Amino acid sequence: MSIESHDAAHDDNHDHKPTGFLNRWLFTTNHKDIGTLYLVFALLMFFIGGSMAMVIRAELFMPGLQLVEPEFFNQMTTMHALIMVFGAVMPAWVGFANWNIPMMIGAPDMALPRMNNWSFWILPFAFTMLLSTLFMDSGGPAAGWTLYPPLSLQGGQSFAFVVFSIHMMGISSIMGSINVIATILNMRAPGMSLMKMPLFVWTWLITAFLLIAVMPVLAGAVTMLLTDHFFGTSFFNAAGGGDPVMFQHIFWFFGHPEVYIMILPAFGVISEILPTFSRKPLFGYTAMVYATASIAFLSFIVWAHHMFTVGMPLTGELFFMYATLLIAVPTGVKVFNWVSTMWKGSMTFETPMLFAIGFVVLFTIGGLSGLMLAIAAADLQYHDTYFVVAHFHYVLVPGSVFALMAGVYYWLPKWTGRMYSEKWGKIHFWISAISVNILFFPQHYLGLAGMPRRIPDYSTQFADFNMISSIGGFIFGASQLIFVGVVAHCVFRSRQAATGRVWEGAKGLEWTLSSPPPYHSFNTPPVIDSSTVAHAEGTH
Amino acid sequence: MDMVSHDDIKDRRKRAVKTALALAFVATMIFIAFILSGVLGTT
Repeated sequence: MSIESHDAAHDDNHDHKPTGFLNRWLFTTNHKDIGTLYLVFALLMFFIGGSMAMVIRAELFMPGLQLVEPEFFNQMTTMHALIMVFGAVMPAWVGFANWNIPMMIGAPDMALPRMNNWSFWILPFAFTMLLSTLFMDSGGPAAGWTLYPPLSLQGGQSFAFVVFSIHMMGISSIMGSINVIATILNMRAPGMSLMKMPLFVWTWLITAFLLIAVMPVLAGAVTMLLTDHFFGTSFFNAAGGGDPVMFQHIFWFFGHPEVYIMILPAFGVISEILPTFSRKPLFGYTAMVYATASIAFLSFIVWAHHMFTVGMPLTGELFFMYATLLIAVPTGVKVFNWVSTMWKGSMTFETPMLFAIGFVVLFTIGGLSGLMLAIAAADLQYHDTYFVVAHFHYVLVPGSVFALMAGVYYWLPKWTGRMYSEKWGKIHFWISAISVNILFFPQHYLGLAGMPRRIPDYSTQFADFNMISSIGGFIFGASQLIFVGVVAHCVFRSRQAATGRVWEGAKGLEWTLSSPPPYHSFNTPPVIDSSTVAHAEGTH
Repeated sequence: MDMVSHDDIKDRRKRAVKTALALAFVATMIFIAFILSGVLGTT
């Protein structure tokens, strides 16, 4: 069946869009609307979390205390992380999952649409509650996003709000993940076997299992913090027979897979974009699936590399060091497969491709500094320094966030039916790619020279690199306004209509639909053949 | 074209609810297990 006849087959749906703002957005059970809600919410959180990053970089622009009190600085570092991790990156990926997974597997909607609505609408309440702590007498959380006791237990009454908001975020994530798994396992079109699914669907399936496995662990950890704080228990209080190091073990059993929760969907997006703009099938699809699953498995057995300095038996250090180094193998498989996908391809460099290539290069830098940190003996030197800050920001900003940008530019014409401004998209990419390196690369040197993280003041020897880093931060922050402008222009003003296929090299079921897709798509299941399988050989 | 009837979609949604309940049970058990680890691990 040709692409055009798919269009005809799936465009004859009657829209039946709900009328009225509340019906459309508050009570919606449509996966596309809920995807849009997630993405808009995530963008808002990016700017709230980003403004906190600007406060941090402004304070660190020069040595000495200039702008904020140290206590408020600590609240900014903590809230910046909590908001970016739980409010921005994770909901953004859930937004992508909502928009794309049903269209990619030929399903009419998510399997559990009402729960889908609930999963989203918990989030604004959770984050309103979290942000409200900044206006309480005892202030917001200030012990870092890791909430290590005993420091986190020294906060005031607002800590109860923090814990409750984390519970709500967790419930939202778990429900979203259950929905993703239930959808992928039960709602695929006939003929869409697991190994025919686009890699984005695979990475999200694995991510959803990770989320269900570890979000309850975080919930358990913060529940124990809550009872230690307010009900006199001593889970983590040494004076009462508890153990503060136990919290670190439990937290990082959640925390390390959490890193992969934020990056695995990014791997999926990059694996969709590179083949399209290289006009070649993804190199090593099967290996990519197994590599993703291997990374997910390994993420459960490396948690203590975050806490080499607490003191542990040498065998423990060696186990966690070697297990961590092992992750380089499946990650290397992925990077080599991406490069091989591009190799001898008919490449063009539209904005999604630029962000995808930027991801491959810069994420790899973050991965390599992660290998340095994995060496237990060396980590004793790097621990809690700006080297760690540089490492995870390379993974999360030019990693996860660049993949999000790439994905938005890639699917935005499909979602809206209009083309964005390629010129401004490229300007956004180049300013972002240059400034993000000015922002984070000097932080490696700061860390190696011994500058500790989460401190508002520093020795004058660190002044130059901090100033450079802050300038990069301000440029990067400002350049994201271009992104908002490009998206807003595309949604509200662009007159250039997008075709169904949008990109010449695009393959997969979502591209067989019109742009924008009908409100209810694939009520009639599609035919799965070589023209609709994204990674089929000989289809590019 | 392979057609999927309305009943088939209903069956799929029923199976999806079962999948969801099983996953929710697993998530709840993990939560309880980690709280228990804290209770039993505290002297």
